[in-house]
Amino acid sequence: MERWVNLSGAGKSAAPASARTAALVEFTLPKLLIVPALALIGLFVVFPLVWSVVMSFTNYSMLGVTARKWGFIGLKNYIWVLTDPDFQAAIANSFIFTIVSALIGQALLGLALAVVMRMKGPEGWVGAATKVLKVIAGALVFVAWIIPEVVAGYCWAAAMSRGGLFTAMFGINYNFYVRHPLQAMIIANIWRGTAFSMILFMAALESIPNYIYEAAEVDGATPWQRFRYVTFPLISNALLVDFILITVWTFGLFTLIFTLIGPQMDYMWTLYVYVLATGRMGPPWTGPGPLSTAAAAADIMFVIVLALITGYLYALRRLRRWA
Amino acid sequence: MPAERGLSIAAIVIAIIAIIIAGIAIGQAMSKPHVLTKTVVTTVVKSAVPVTKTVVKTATATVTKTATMTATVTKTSKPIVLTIEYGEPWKDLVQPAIQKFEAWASSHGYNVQVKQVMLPYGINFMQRISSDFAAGTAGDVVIIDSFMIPAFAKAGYLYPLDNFVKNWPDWQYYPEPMKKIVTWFGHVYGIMIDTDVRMLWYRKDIFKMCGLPVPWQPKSWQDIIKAAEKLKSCAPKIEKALGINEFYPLYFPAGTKWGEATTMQGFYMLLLGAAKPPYNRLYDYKTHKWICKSTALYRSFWFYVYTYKNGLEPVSYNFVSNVWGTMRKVFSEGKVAILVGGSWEWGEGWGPQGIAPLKPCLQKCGCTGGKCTTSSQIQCYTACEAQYIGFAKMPSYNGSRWVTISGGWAIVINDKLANNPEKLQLAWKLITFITSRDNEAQYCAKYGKICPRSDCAEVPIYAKNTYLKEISQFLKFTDFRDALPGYTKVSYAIQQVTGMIAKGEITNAMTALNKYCDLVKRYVGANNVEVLPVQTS
Repeated sequence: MERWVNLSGAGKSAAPASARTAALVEFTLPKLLIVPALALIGLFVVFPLVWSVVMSFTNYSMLGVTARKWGFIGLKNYIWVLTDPDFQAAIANSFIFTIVSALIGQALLGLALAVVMRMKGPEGWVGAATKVLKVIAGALVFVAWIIPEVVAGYCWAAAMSRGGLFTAMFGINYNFYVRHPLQAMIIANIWRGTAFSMILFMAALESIPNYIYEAAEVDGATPWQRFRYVTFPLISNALLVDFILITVWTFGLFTLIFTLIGPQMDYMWTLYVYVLATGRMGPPWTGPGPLSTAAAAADIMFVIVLALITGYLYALRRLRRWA
Repeated sequence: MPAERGLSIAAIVIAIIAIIIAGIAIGQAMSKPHVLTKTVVTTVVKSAVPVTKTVVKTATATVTKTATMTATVTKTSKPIVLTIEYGEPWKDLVQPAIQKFEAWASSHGYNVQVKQVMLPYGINFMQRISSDFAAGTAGDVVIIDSFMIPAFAKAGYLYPLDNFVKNWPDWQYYPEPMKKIVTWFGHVYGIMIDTDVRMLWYRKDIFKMCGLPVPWQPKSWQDIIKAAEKLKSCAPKIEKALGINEFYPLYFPAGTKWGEATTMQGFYMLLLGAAKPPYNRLYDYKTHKWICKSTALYRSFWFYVYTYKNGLEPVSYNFVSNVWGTMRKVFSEGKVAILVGGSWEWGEGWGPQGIAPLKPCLQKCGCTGGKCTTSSQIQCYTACEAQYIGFAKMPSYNGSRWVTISGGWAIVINDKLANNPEKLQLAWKLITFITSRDNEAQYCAKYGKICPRSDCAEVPIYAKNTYLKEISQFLKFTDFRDALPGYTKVSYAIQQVTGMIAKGEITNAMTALNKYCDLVKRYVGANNVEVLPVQTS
């Protein structure tokens, strides 16, 4: 009690009653103010989540008799989904997609771009021209991030079609996104998401004062040593935050992929859930559009994402110590 | 402060537990809504019957006392909004009828507004409509694919029309098969608005270029494959003559992107002719099991494997974002020479006002903006179309008979109107305008669709249509889908396996058959399938 009384500036000389009111205001008001937000989160995040877990134990479906008369069936949906070869392929592809397109593609490319953007050009008109080029390049990368996903998806589908950009540039004489859907997804997602990593890293690099580099240079540090012992430790937090965000985003990506490769359920788990929920197949115990089975698939993925993020947070702690 | 922190954590934990309990409670409550709805529905249906009779009477007769009363009531109140949800292909059927309906309603003193939800070309209509029904946002009157009626009816989404059709004089003009499609367990759930047959479309100009006979009528699957192989050898010549960058002789839809069309247009057309009945089906009506393996299934997969593996069919058209539009466009451009498709394509696909009209014909008839508008232009275009496009009957495997399959779409009433008798009456009235003889005949003649009403033939515009006269011959040997519960899942397995064949993931008919059998077992349960002997020769 003492601490916040002192913090509120009432001091020991103040009347106990007003101190109590002040305390009440200071302690209770913030919590009260959180209530609406909490209620909204509860309604739109926690409740659907709980509801999807509840639903995954039933045989509820969109059509057929189980749309009306449904009951609890235990773990059947989970077993069906986990033994589905399409789901296994979808998980494997989702991981490949996330690791290659987000962690390797977006983050690395973003970091490289951010470092290049921060480099100082030479004096004179060459430097000025470089500056202009940098602004243009930055803007272009940023535009890729602003374009709506549906537009980006269709643009890439057009570019990767026979007779499109890929034919003109690389002489690929077939529909690239049809024959190599995973590669197409990866290219499109790197193109689209690099801007976010770049902006994040640029901000992190901006916050490193120049004198540290100057001091390192005076001490005779090589460019690699400067990166390893100055830049890297100072941006490692940004790196981890970036990793967490792009992993979650990429893992849950739907629109871009759907517009690009269509309802191919074995290429991404979001597509799997979509096809299952709105499609006409499913296990024998539900009707067409088995929302319950799709919910089970979504819940499995939710647990995987949760485990991933927990791993990241643990890594963040380790990294701080190491850096 | 430990105490406060503890209190906060406790509060959060309690809140989470409360939410979980609420979720489970709501789940439990929602799992038994049929008890509640059933009672409500039965009461409403009972109370609705007398109203039905009154409104039907007032609709046909002059203004009676009841009608005047209804009129005064409705005029002062807010307008009744009636929503109709339908796909773009039916806009010329629905829109004129809405105008007539609105005129009728205002002259009878009803204050009705018809709100149209038109689903555009390029989306999967049934996927969207299913989601809308499940979410409770579907229209009051909806046009659905007739094979989905069992699944929708079982879910309780459709209002039974038994009482309406009983007093509807026009019901007698629907032939028995058209009544059977919309009936499920003795109840009528919809009215058929169109029906169709399927055939092989081919490009006469390309056939001539390659020295193939025109008119063309293959006698067996081998004839189709032979023609396709000959066309393939002519590909460079054809590409040069038409100025196109790719050419495929044959196109049978494959893959999940096509949805039901893969099964209906592509696979069934093979399956039904692949063996003698009753072994040419997906379902065994004697044992009440789905057929997992059979000679007919093997042969149908063989056809897909052979044609796709040998580059006779286009792979990527099956996976583009708009499969229907692409199919119509590439055939119109001459990139595909033989196409298995529906009878509606004559008008809807390549007709004078179709999606992808023939460019040379548009030029020849002076049609601008990609469409022919005046009647002389349309006449000129239709004559020109017949010079470029022909159609042939699909032969069976060994040429012993002809094969085709019919489906069609039906108009239904959403069950949510069950507790709104007045709206229910108006919805039915709207349906009678849409399905009226003249409206149907006009629409079907324009799009080259087969009218489900027998009295359409009395309407000159329909009777004079030579194309419709020709395709009505197909009705003599037509067949229907095994649209039982579970059909959609089996159909999906076909779409998956043909998709794998098209992509080259399966290159052997036996592998395809095994994969299909595995999938069907997963979808309908291993004890609901049967394996018939497979003859691989």
